[in-house]
Amino acid sequence: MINKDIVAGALLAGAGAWIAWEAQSFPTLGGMTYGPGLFPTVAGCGLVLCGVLIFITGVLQGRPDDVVAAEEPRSPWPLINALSVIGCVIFFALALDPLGFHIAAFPVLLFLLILFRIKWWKSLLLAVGVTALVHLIFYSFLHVPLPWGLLEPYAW
Amino acid sequence: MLIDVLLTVLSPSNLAIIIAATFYGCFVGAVPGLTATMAVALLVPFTFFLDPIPAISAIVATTTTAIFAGDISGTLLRIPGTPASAAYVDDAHILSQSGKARTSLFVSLITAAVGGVVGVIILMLLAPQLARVAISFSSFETFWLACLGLTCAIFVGGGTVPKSFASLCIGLAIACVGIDVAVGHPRYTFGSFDLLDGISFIPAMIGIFAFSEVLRNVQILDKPKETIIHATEKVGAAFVGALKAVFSYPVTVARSSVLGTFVGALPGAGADIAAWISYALARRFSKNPEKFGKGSLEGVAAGGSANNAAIGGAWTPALVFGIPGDSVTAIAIGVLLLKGLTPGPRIFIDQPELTSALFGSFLIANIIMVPVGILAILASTFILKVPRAVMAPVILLFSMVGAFAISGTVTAIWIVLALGLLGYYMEKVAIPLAPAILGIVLGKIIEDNFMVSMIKAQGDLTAFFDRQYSMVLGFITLALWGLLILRAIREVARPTSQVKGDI
Amino acid sequence: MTTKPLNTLLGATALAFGALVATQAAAECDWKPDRAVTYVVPWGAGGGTDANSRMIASLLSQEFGQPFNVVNRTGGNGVTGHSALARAKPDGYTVGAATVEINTMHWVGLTDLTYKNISPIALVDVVPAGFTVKAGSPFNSVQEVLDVAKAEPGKLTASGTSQGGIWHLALAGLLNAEGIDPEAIRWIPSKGAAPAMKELMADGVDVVTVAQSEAKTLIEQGELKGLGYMHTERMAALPDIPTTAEQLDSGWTLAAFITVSGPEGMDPEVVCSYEKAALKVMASPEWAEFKASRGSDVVLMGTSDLSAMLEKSDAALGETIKAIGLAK
Repeated sequence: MINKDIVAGALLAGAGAWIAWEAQSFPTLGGMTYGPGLFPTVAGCGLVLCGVLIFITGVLQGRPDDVVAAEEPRSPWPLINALSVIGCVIFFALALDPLGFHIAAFPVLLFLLILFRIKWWKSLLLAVGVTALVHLIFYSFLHVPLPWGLLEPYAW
Repeated sequence: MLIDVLLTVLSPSNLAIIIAATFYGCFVGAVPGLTATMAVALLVPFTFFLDPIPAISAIVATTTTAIFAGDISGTLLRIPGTPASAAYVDDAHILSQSGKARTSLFVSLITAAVGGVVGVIILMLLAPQLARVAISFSSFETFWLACLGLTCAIFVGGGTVPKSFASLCIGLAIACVGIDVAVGHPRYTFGSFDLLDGISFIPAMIGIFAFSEVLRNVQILDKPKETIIHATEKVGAAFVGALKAVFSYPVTVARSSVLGTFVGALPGAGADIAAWISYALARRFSKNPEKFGKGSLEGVAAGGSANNAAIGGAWTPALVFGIPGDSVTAIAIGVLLLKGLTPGPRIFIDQPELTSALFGSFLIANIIMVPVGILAILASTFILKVPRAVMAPVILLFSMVGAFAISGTVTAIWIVLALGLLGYYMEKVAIPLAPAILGIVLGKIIEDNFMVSMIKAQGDLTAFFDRQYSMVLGFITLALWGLLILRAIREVARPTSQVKGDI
Repeated sequence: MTTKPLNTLLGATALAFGALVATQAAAECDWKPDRAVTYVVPWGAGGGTDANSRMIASLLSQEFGQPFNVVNRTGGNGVTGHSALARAKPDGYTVGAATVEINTMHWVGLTDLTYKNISPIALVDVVPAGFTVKAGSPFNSVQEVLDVAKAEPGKLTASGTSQGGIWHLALAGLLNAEGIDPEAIRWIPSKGAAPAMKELMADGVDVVTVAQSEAKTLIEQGELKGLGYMHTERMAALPDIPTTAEQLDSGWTLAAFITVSGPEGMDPEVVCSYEKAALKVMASPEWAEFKASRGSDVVLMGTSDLSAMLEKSDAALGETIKAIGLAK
């Protein structure tokens, strides 16, 4: 009997409550009863209210969604693909500063391209090419200081 | 006199500079994450070596095209170039997915040129007067104007009422991150230095729009080919279609251009609010309001013209008072000063050749933008033919590097990830994105101006109605809210209400 | 085993020789970057620090033949950018603009960073605080404003930067030095000089204390009235406006400054190479022209003088901040 509105409503209300609660610890302006906490409190309370309303709509609807979709045999690939993309972003963010842009970008591209069933030699070429292209556009042309990381001795 | 100026502006060397700047602006604007500000900032060292008029021409041409070119990545990759273009990015992207990328981009291009020209004509005729009004806007007026802008959330939504408001609150909550203006207290920063300034707009956009789109796309890679439309519109047909579309909404384009210039003239917030208000008004008065948010060419036209008209608007306070409305004009003022040209009320009398040259370059830049833009559109739409399996990783990398480029920190990439997951989830549960974006864009403006106003008035709320413009704006806003609440109550009271109807 | 001491001796000699060579090289100050350098600016694009830094970066880039990429690391009233600069690898490939805030932020409790966490290279700009009102304002001198502030505390308002920012300190310090409550003129926080001047033009505040150079054009055009600026001697670019040192009994002055600095622990060889290059480009006609266009004077101050200046300024600002009750 759980549908997505019930979950979303509960999540929103929870997040709103946390935001509003946290805001109560902020200092107030000298001589006034409010301060930096006012707007987060408004936003948080708004979220709680909307969350509760969405929750109620969900309960009233009462039926779990995606009944039809659930009966189809589901392929695991969509989930694997999505999780891989998220994993790649995490890897890239962690690796960018210590390892450098090139060592972070190339494996991300290669891995995702192969995962998405591009032939390995095409993937390899593309990964090298796109890494070089991004370097050229952002670093050489637009002067964005992409970190060199481990490749610093070979930086130019 | 005028002939002299015209000859300078149209001299081969100056034209060459304008053309080069147009290509450059187009390129930088189209790269995800890179903004018009960045394009102009990178241009500054080159202007050192130029004469005053070519220097100004280069900056003007770069800004004009960079703002338009933001629509290229917006339409094709769902990465809006400016906070203003986020108003219509979904319309443009949906059009692109249904095989009308070129039509949509041509509409963007034509309306951008029209908006730009209208903007510069108003600038020519009314700059001193308009600047006088713009400069008399203090924090009270700006607060009301931003509130008026926030009201647009009702028109740009498209979910149920609680979901639209939930979305708005999410946006406002995101805007609360960072130190507050009143006492400098860090809020929701989790000890990160990079979050002290709040969540920057570009990484937020890249996350909410582009990253969530990548996440969705990689889940349908296995779907049969026919569900994915490859846009190979004939160029001619697309261009004619776009022209027809623009000519069928003359009122929308005219209204948005004029509004874009006037609202865009207000320093600080103008340009961002202009496109949203234009979009909301276009929807309100449209014959097909239901198409807005689902691929409306009229929406693209409204936002696109307002977006580029606002550039002309932003120059008014900069030229007339030397007070920049945004970072682009701030940089431009620096270049003007360096060239021995002092912006100020007397600039039109003391340096008429400069102001004429500026207007001339503006007009020419808007004209040259059309052929260059066509080339850019032709060159960029090839990526629609690239299979998704290849595009998805490439977009992902460009998104991450584009976000990194804004602040030079990895925090931007974490913002992309966090807000991307949020955006993905919101679309999954049918919470519309647009109100959240509006909340992010306007939340800070509203809060800062409210707090500053209250510090000035020492907590006296009636101060919001004390000043002339402020009172007018305040009453308009409150009246509008009253009307909307009344209408909502009527709808709820009626049993056949359509409140949940238009998900 | 007997060979070992010999080896050690040889090694030591080699080391000593190496060190000798190194010191000799250091004296030459001819280090050069062989790839792009990142130039950190703690303030936003379009502001005074940004304009000065972009100009210096572009001149240094010509001098060294390598790109100098300006990055605006804004946020936290300067904390973000200064932290990024101080914590960068001190290899000479990250330098940046440390501004007066390096000497104020730690006193008001924003961060632990002090001027000891950076390697000063050269002074770029000295920016005296202004004291500017709208053209139609009844005030004609700083003293007239102070008299009203004294008689009716809290009536007047002033703006220019964030709460506890440098222009706020300038005003509060001035009031304090004149024996008036530092809060007698209420501070309205703003997001920088331009919004503050807009507020002044819109009658939102009575006074702005932003850099005199920021208000210069509007003063010249008769929209604003410059009542004074907080400096010891009149600037060549603004000869008609009196200084506070002339006008006030306390002789109060306050000037912000912009430096080019590196991270803490930068090799002296690299520092002096940058110093040499920076002083050279700041003596160039391009730089003189740039400074004149912004209404400020060229300053030439190298590493050692700048270090002494930073130390002095830190102590002085600390005293002011404590006196006006903003210290944490």
